[in-house]
Amino acid sequence: MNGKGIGGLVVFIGIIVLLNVLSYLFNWGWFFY
Amino acid sequence: MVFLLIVAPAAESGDVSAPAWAGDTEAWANRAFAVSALIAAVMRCWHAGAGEFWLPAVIGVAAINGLVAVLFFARRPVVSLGAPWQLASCLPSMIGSGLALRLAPGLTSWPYWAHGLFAAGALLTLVALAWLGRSFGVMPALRQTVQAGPYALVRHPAYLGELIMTLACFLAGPGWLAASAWVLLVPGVAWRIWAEETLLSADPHYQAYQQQVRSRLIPGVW
Repeated sequence: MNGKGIGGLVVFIGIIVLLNVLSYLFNWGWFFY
Repeated sequence: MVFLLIVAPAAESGDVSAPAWAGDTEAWANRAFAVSALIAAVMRCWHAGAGEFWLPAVIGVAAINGLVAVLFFARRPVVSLGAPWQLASCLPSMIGSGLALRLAPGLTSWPYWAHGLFAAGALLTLVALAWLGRSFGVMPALRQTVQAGPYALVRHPAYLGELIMTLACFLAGPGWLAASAWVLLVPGVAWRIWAEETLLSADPHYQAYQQQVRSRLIPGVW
């Protein structure tokens, strides 16, 4: 995997972790927009 | 008056070309947003208490997040993205709406009219997001101007829907914490609209749309 691919994967995983923690804190009742 | 709708033709506005930085990172970010919205939709239903599944604050939120997931997968590439302060403008309203639902009383204790109000807001939001289609975005960014459906009535119908839903959360209580969330949310949404329009009004198509549809949020008021 090249640097660009790894960067994309880091963005992908980072966003998912961050948003799911926020969603959990808001009882999964957060509007995603 | 019949508004001329839809979107500027692709050759003139949205689909022209994405900036050089877009591409892989934008695509991965879109996938991550989509997966997260989908997880939130499923978990909202999963965590619903007995008899709560069909309440608007459960099935409505899940439907919105499910639709948002689809739109994240399908949306157009960005033509121009806002400055950091403009991008940050979505945060207060997003946090405010999360808090409003978090701080609302248990759903089974809501009066019927509060469920009805929430359902109206959720329905308006779903219709607005569906009309926005592939131009959907969370942070201020120019994709393609949509002027059809609810966007012929006000320029930000999805935010109006959000305010109606959170108002239902507040009134179902009401408690001072929920009221604080509402107080945070209203100026947050106003700031978000202002930041978005600062960016979008650089596009001549959006300028024409602003002349055509004068109200931002509430018809005839603001």
